[in-house]
Amino acid sequence: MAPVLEIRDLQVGVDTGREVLSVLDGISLSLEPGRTIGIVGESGCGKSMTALATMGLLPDRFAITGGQILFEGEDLASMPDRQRRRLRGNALSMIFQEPMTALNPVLTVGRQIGEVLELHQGLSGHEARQRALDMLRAVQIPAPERRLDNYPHELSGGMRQRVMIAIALACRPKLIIADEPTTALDVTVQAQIFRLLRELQGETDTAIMLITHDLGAVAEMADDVAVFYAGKCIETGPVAQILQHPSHPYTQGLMVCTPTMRLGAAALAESPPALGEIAGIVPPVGRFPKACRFAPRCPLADDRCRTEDPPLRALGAAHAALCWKAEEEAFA
Amino acid sequence: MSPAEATRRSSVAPAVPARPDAPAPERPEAAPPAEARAAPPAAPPEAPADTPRPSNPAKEFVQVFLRNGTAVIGFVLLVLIAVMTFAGPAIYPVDPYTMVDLPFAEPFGPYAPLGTDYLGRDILAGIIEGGRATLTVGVTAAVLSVVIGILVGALAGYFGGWMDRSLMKVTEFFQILPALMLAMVLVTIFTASLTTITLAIGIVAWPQVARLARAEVMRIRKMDYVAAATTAGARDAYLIFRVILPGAMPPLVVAAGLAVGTAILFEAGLSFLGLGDPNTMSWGLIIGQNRNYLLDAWWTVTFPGLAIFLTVLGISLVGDGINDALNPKLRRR
Amino acid sequence: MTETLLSVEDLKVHFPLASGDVVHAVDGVTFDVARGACFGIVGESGSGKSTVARALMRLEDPTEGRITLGTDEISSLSGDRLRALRHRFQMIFQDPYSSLNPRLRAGQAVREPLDLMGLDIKGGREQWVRQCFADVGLHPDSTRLFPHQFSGGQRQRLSIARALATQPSLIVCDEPVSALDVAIQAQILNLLRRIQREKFLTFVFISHDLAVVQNICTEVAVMYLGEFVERAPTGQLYAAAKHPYTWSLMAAALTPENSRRAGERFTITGEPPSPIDPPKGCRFAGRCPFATDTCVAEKPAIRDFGGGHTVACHYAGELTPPLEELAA
Repeated sequence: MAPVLEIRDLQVGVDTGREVLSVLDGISLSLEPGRTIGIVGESGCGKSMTALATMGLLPDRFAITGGQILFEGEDLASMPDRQRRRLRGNALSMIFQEPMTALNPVLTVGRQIGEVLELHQGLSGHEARQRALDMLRAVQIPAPERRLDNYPHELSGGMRQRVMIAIALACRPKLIIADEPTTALDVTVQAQIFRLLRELQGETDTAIMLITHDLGAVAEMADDVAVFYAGKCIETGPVAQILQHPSHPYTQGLMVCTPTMRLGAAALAESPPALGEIAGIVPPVGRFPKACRFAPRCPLADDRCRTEDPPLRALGAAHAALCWKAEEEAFA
Repeated sequence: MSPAEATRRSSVAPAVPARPDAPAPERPEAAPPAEARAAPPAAPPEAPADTPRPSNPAKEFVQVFLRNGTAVIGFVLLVLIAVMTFAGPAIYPVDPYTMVDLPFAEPFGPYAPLGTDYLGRDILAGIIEGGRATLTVGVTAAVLSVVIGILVGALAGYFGGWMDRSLMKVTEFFQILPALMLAMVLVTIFTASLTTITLAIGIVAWPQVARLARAEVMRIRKMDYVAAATTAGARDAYLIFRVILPGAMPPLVVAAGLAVGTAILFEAGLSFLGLGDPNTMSWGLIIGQNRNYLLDAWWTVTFPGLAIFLTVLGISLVGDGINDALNPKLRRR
Repeated sequence: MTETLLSVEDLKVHFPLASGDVVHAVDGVTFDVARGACFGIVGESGSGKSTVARALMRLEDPTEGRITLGTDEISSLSGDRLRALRHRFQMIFQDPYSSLNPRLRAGQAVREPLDLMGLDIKGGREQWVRQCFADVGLHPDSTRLFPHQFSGGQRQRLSIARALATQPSLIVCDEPVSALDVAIQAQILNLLRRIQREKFLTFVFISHDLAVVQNICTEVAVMYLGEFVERAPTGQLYAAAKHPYTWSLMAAALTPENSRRAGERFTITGEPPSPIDPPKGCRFAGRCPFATDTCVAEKPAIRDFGGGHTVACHYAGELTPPLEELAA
């Protein structure tokens, strides 16, 4: 199947006034209709920048300096703004982390959903309102007729996120970029939102790019995973493969860092062991180490890792890692 | 956990003892990207020599301020005005109260560079002499209003409840009174001396500062570091004056600067209306005494007016500069 | 051995609103914490767990109930008498960016409690501050830096150093790792575990994350709308939880190793009701798939299931957990 989104060797830089620092370096991803890719990594690794570059919403002084972002075969990176605006909110939409700040506080929920429809699909006010109501029903908001005339502050966090999803889905987009969509929500509500997203995805065949720091959310939602570290994509592959056999030491580190809940008999065993750690922190933009960027924090790093760029090693169908050691690990 | 998993777990980072990761230097020159801000920069672990020097807030403030062109212009303007006012009599020793030429001598004449007023007194000497009173009244009244305003605002914002309600009622009472009118009444009832004028201006100008201080104190009061200081055993006074107010200062410093400008304008306004202290030369007094001859002798009013204008302009430029120089620290998180 | 350090009896914290309504943030919570134990409180936002933490720290005034630390009842003290005891209980806050005064250098921040409470330390305060820095893995030479010169993880270490400075016996941790990235979260959790054991500290650990709580706590209470619905030693709770709300939290927790997806798992609907006007009967009844008329009408009593396992549910022990690990 033709991918909805294909990112090829994307480069993003930030202009500090003195020099242009690399923020994203050689990101390549591909996403097919109806599938979900999870992008994971710590803050400062470039996850959100990838999303913003795709949406054409890079902050001031950030710019795409190379590569292509092909959306249904058309390059978003070189597309004129006007054309991109037509796609945005229509075929391409985004769900933000904090629904309270992403929604307009002075417009009713119905108006905000309707607005997108009027803008992109030329619906009349009445039709738009009807569709807005349908959307609220689709995102399972109780008593949608009443909610249509509510303002965002009159809704709970979970409901606001549902409204955000209704707006994002209103025009039946081909691709949704969800940037930490449930981070601000409670776990029980998070489970509801993920379930809803999957159901709606099943109906509309929308592709989802899920940006998250939470490997649990990836396990829950994603078909494929891309792990980001310091502006590079260091491991990609199918979700089961990555979570069960992570090959890059960083991915492995993330796995052992994440506390896991043990239920049933396992919980009565001895007290849980100390968590694994990845020493140090993500280097800031402009101070990425040469050669392998993870080498300074990597327990396996040797001289080669610090002097030569690591190769992208194929480790099976669609599974690849940017690491000198990945193969040894995989076959060890 | 499967045995395979167990081996993999143990092979990776087996609970490395926490290392003192080298603290991160701030790089103000490079605006960190949105994400990098979330995970603040750190020196790469392989370069421990890169330990940052403790930053010096005063020095940073001066650096940022000096990079701001208009603020520096404003600052230079204020310095010149201050020098002129306080060192002026030594450089230009002309008595502002004696006749030096015919009344209404035009500027650039042989005796008076900026002309003379209706009594033939030297305008330049008047401006130099009057600046002292004007600036003193302006600064003193501003300090007075800022002190009252911060005290009232801080108490209201910190304690809340009935304290807040009653103090804000008082503040509102002062705010709805027409300020100039109140000052006029005060000056009329008590004699028109510089002290009375200063007090009158201070008393009418504080409510704005109080409202601002209250809002800032209420905002900062909710911050966790104030709770942290409480759990560290801080008393109310320590919390208000050592923990909360320093954080509330940036907008208050700017407000204080603007209050000086307002006070100077007030003083000029009162003098213009003939309510100034007739025995003390001030910029407002010069304008007030000559206002009837504006059409015949423009210079009598224009030059002191220009002095007021430049002073207030200088103050507001510097105020903006201070605001900008203090703000990045707040935005830096 | 099991000397009780902290005892909380029927704690209530109500906030009156300007409208005349009352927010029942904490509505009758009772628990004891033994010296050296780590008592976890889990719940969703709005459950009142952070208010419990702030009430323990006397940052909020309890409306009713008693908090006893050792032999001192701290809920009824105020002013200087409260301040004189504050060195014995300290707090670690959630957000390391807002819990440190941006105008104090790191060393001053750690020293501040000592200066304010006039605590003298053998060897001098300055030396002690450096020792605290070393204890939490910060370089002692970084005392002259300002908070903004540290990374998020280091700031949280600094907060911990500050909490340790007065050598407290109780530390209340309010979501101490939720604002941190996974890798940093693991570093801080391990640090907290280490210092708790080394210094024989007692923790009250507030979190929304069941996995984190299991990792560090010895006893856990599940809080919902101002009340504890279930409380048990950690192993017992995760092995045999009995309250449907606990099940829903467990089912909703996502772990990388869990391959079963939301559609196939137990989920509850809706969101917690308002704490302004909490339901009369069981507060969870409105969202509980097992609820009956009894649940809506009658408030369930807290029943003891032995071994310190208490549950507030009419049908506790009778229901089959919808999680296969628990059912086994």
